[in-house]
This record gives sequence, C-alpha cells and structure tokens, in this order.
Amino acid sequence: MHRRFSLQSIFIELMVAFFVLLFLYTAINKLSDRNSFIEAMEKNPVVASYATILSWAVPLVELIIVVLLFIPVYRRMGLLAGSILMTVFTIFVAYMLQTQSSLPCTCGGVLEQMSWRSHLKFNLITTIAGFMSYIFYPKILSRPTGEAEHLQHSRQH
Amino acid sequence: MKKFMLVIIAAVMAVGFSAFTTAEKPLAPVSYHNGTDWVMYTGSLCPAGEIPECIKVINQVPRQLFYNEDFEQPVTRLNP
Repeated sequence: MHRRFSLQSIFIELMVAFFVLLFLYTAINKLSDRNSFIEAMEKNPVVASYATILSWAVPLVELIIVVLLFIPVYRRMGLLAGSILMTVFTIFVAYMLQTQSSLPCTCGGVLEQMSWRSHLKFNLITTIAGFMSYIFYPKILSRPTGEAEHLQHSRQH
Repeated sequence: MKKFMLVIIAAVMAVGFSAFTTAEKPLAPVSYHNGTDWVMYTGSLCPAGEIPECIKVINQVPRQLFYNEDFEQPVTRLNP
C-alpha cells in the first residue's frame, strides 16, 4: 500500500517538473520570438483575428501555471490548469490535422519540428498524464499549511 | 527544499534549453508558382476564416499560395 503511494507521489512530482519544463520553455520561446509567433498565427484562419492578444495571453497563462506549480498549496490547481491548457492545444492540433494544414506550429522551440501527427500523440499523452496527476494529487496537500496539518493530525487519531 | 529540487532543476533546464534555441527564426515563406518558377509572395495573406493556402489574384492571374514549395506534398507537417 505504502509502495503504491510512493509511486503515485513520484509520478506527480515528475509531472509537475515536466509541466514546469514544458510551459516555461515554450513561454520563453514565444516571448523571445514574438514576431514569428504572431506571423504564424496570422496565417492561421482559426486564430488570425486574435494573434496580437494571444501572443501575450498564451505565454502569460503558461507562466502563471509555472508559478502555480512552484507553490505547493496551488500545485493541484496548477496541474488542473496545465491539463486544461494541454486539452485546448490538443483540440487545436486535431483541428489542424483535420484541415490538412501545412502551416507551421506556433508551439515554440523544438516542438515546432514535430509533425502534426506526432504532436497530437505527444499532446494526448501529456493531457492524460496531466489529468491523472491532478486526480492522484492528495487534496490534503492543496489546503493551506495549518489546515492540512490539522486534518492530518485528526486523521491519525 | 528537497521537495522543490525537481521543479527547480526543470526550471533551470527550461531556461537553458531556451538559450540554445535560436531567438530569431526565419519567417515561413509564402510562395506561388508562376508556371516556370517559384516566386516569393509578399502581399496580403489569406483572410481569417478561409483555408490557409488560398488563391490570390496576382497580376490578374489567380495563383495558389503555398507555404512550402511543393505541388506534390504541400502538407509537410502531416508526415509522420
């Protein structure tokens, strides 16, 4: 039983670290090469009208998720937010695959080198793993410290 | 501190990887074929809501725009 919980916590810790790596890396790339990011979006019929707003909003949301993942109390919320963002990206990639677009991906960094198909697989796996880590994340750890300690203490007795 | 170690390593790795990624990527070229050769298209792009590679009238001739210079396989990112 104890082993199962330690495996769960390892999985959660790895997912948190992976989300931090993924979102921080792509956010920095999008912000450092904002012109290419805007231009790629302007060529896209789905997001062309909102290219300028999205060029700020997407990396900003990614950075907020990274901050949430850094703070233990908000880590569960960060996992949920990250999984929801990955779901949105997955729907976008699925749409691009459906329309057979040859457009480059606006995902930032090395992820742009992936084909749409491999990108869809990557997003699907990441989204599922993200939601799994959110479900497995102990709710008690996402409460403020004093309350969490009180709950843990009352459970022991 | 031990709890934060993995997250801090991930953050450092993210910043490190970003530093190795070229900051200014060349912009994706849009071109059309004029019958004999590929010509770079610099005019206005396809309007939002239309298919990404639309047809534009260039010098009174309708031309299909391509994001990669390939008639046979214009959809490069569909490759596995």
